Amino acid sequence: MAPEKIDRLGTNALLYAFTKALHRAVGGSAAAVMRQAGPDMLNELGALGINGLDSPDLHVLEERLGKLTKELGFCDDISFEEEGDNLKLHVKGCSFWELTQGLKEEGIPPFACPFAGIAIALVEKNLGVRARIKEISPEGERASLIHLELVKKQG
Amino acid sequence: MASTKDILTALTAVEGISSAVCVGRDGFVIDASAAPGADVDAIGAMVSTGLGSAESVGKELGVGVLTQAMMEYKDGVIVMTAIGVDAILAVVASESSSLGNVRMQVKKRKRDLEAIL
Repeated sequence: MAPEKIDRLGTNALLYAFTKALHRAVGGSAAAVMRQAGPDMLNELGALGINGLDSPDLHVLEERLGKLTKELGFCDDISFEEEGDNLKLHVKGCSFWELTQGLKEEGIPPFACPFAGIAIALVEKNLGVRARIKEISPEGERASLIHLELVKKQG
Repeated sequence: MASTKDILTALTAVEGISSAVCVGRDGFVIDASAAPGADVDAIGAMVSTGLGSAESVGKELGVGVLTQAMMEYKDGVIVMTAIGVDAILAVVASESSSLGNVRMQVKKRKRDLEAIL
């Protein structure tokens, strides 16, 4: 049997090829696919027995998401910064750095960022708002700023 | 100036058009005028990827920029068009509606939406 711990760069390479093909197929609309994937990511993590991502308190969500992503080896640290209708996630030690940087080098926006997909699903499920990516930009080596715009639900 | 909602509501007032949705490229539903019970979030994602793949086909075949896309189904048609680079307008119409009028209305409202988005 193969070792349980798979190689990070190998995983990045596979995800890179998949997301690049997706972007070639549907262009900028690939971001819509990622938006659909977010809730499933949350569900799948729940199916792995990783629960606790249900709370109306943003600080609780920040703490639990940080713990979860560290345990899974997704990143070294993640923190939230809320400013009115904006939520900024600061991700440090990102394990998907090669994926997003590789896409950017090809002129493809980092739409496949799993942190953005999970965060959007998380806030939409728990905070009663809708969210969309405003910006994803580097904040140093293997660190990213994920800026989400929060939009109140209508009606 | 008319709001996004006003423009979409005007579209659904056209005979045969049941839903009108304005979505971002990321599938985010900016606004919608749809029948009760319609899952506009799911519609948003499908509309975005549907238009995206139609654009990619045009790019691969070298036939230029997509101006409007229409898909015909057994019980209706969907007409989609890009609003600038970041948004899409899609309408759902019945199979018995006047397709010429539906397409013309979409073209007209596209300009209105481009002015405010």
